[in-house]
Amino acid sequence: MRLDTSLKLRRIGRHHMIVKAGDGRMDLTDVFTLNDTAAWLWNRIGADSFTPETLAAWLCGEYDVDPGTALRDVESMLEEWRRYGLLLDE
Amino acid sequence: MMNCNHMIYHYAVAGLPFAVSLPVDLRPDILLPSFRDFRIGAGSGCGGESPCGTPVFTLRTADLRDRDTSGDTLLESSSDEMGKTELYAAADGYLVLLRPLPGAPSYMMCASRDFTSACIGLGPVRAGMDSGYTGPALTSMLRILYSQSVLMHGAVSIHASAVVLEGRSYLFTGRSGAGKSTHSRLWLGTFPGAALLNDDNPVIRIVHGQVMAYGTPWSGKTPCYRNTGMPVGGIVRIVQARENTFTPLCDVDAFTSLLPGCSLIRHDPVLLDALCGTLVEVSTSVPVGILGCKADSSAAMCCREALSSY
Repeated sequence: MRLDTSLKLRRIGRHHMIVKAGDGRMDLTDVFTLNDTAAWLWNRIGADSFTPETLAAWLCGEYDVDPGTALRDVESMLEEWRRYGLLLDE
Repeated sequence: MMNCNHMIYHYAVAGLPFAVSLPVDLRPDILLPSFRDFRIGAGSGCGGESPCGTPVFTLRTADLRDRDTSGDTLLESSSDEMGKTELYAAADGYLVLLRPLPGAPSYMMCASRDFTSACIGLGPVRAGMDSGYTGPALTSMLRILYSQSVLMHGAVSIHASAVVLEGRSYLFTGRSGAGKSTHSRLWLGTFPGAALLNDDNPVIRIVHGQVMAYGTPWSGKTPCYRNTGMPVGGIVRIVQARENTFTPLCDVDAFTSLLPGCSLIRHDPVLLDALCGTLVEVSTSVPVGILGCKADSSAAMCCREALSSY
């Protein structure tokens, strides 16, 4: 899978957010906030194709977390990203 | 040889210049009275130079009677005292259709995708034959054009009522009927020296890193067209309540509070990107909050006190 690279991760104060124009709905714009870890993953992924396992391995290399927990966290995060249209399927 | 039957008039709002080309028999100060204080220099004939740098947009008149909207995609439709406004995506940019009340002529504007150039069809209107709708229609079209073209210049047109006091400007946003104008009036009645800057559509612009608010030729039903700007002292969303309470907002919360009041064609990713860049800077540089308030002077005092404690 890939990120929708038309979306831009922005830093605002101490937070990270993505602003997404509504899909054909009038006057609606979605604003998503990402925590530091999610923002770090988003930036590291960039335009590349990735799997949940890749992201889990990155987390294990950066944080003191066991592989099973890392993969579960990544999958629930990606499920959310998919639900809100932040991912492109290949 | 060029047939010069048009005059080009130059204006600047929030320091951002634009040019309007009109047939020689149309008088701009009569057609566009709210723009008088924003005029720069005298009108010039074809090929005249702008007196203050490159215009952010140029509006010309054209015969658009054969242009229709079949084949264009309707993006947005809204209604206000000017009648019905429709925005279409066309192959070469955007098309705006203004349909005033029944029986009135309708007006069409074709704008380039980046809103730097547009033409408006004024139909058979000529001096002395103005139906009374042409000036207001042109004023509305210029507002739409201006509000989109300035997004690429670190500025944003915002739906708000704004006052100035002691060298600072204060903007009050909120839904229609929330009491934005009422709250401005409370400041005018409560604090000596307070004055109205604009009652409907001021412009926020970042100039040399400072967030400024400016008066414009668009002020809703209140004729307050001031060509002046002041550093912003606060932007407050007004909500009616039984008690006065001020809630400070920061970062993402401030951003999402400001976004709905900003004039933007949300389907355009380039303009949205520019708007977000400006709003991030505004949200992190000036006090932003929500005021739940009553409609009396205690609300103005509560608001000012909260903003001065930032």
